[in-house]
Amino acid sequence: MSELILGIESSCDETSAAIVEDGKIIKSNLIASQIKIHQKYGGVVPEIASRKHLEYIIPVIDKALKIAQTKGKDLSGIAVTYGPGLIGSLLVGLGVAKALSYAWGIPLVGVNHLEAHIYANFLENNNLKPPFICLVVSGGHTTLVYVQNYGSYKIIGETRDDAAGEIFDKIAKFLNLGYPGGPVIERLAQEGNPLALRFPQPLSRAKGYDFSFSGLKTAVIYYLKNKIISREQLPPLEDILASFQKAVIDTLVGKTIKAVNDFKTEYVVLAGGVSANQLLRKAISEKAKAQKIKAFFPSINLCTDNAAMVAAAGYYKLKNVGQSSLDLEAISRLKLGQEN
Amino acid sequence: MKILGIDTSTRISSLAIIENEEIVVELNINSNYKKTSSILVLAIQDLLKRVDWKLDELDGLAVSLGPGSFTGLRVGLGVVKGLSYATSLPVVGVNSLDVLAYSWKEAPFLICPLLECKKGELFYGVFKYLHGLEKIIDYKCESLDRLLMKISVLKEKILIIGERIENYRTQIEKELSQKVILIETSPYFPGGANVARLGLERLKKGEKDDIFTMIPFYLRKSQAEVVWEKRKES
Repeated sequence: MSELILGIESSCDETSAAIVEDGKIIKSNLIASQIKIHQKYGGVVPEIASRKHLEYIIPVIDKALKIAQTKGKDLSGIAVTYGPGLIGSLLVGLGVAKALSYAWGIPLVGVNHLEAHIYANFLENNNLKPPFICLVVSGGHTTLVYVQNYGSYKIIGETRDDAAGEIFDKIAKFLNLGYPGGPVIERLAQEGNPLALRFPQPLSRAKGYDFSFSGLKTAVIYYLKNKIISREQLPPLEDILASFQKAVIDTLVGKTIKAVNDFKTEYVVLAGGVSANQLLRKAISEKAKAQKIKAFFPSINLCTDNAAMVAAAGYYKLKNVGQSSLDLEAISRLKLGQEN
Repeated sequence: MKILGIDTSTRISSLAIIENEEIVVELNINSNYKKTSSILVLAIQDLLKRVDWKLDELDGLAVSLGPGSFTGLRVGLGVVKGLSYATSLPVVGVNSLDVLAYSWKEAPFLICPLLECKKGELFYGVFKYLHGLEKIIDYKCESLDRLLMKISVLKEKILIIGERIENYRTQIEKELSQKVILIETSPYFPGGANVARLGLERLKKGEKDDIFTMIPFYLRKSQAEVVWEKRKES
């Protein structure tokens, strides 16, 4: 008999619920995005995000169940993100998930948000199997993970300061391009020359797999400020953004491919919001092809935060680890591989 | 009618089941010791187990909507929404200041409940209880100075109750010693039993809230919105 999992995700600014069958088939995947609400603040405001989650959560869950033509009592489990993320946001999804689990008498399983991003790849690719290297890259995370086996992870590199997606947002905010920064910078950069300017790529030659993007952000902002103050002619905005984007992508790809070589894996995988960036996908694909390894990334709608990936990760976690207790706590800085 | 009442507006999380007006079982937990978010659902399960009742044997869920701790309110309402969605039990929200005033309804004075807010402000209102709660001053979120100014013009004697009132005692007594009675003893938090009782009153009137649209009574905008609006004005 097939097993249906309800996934619930509320770690940042998307309220999402999904029904996934046997960890593979997406029956429904609803996302209520708050992007428009946070736009005028130039980034996610935690208190506002938490308030909106509580407004959206029941309608989103209800719709996910209806589209999947599923009743609560037919579920085999409820999977919910319990970290990492904004604590106030996490608590809304977790509270509702626990209440549903108790009232319906259905097992609860807490899922790590980063693990869920990795599972977005399993949802779509039957050929992908561990071990592999996965770059989880989003507005909140830049993490290189060695996926040894299902549920067995080793974090080999992380950003020491800003996440990659975060500096896209910050540069966009500085230039008044709106929020989120990723899509708008990518669009403008398409028209620009990525070799027009050379921005620093901190840590790109350093040992290990850690990232640092704060220096790059500062370099771009200082470059712009100096030009403006000295009233020099600025190169076209598109060139600046293309060069900036190239610096980010080169850094990400460089470290990721280095890890693939060092760990001798056959697959390289992208996950998280920034993996929707076409240039990043292309760069990883090309490098992978040259090295005769296979690259995987989720389809665009599974790159952003969504509950289908949470349900998929929850399905396997229920099978392999078992259910979570009803006193599960939200952990804002939850690490991958940290058991609950 | 059997009602579960939940109050998570202050650091004391309080739950109770009442049958008609009578308390059946009650539980208060200080969130400094155990986080409300982690224990709330277990506590509800435990409460029902103690009286051998099932969740769906209840007739309704009453929840305190605030004002109070933003996170606390969301945890309480989130859990109640989930319980109601799964069981179709009706939900009624009640105001936490109403509940606190209601718990002192026998007092022959005006009643001013206080709950702490951030930024040195207080949530309060002034009530009179005759045949029901009557509002003399509407719910506010203001500094103690403004509160004292507002109640100084009221003619009747006034009972001030609430969380950590000892922090405000000196100033209140200095400015209004003649007309106030300060209460530090329990009940100084709204409490699940009275949430359930006020909820029961609403249910009996045929009222209930919609879990698809229901939100807490925050009474205060987020700091980001306050700053944004100030900037827009100037």
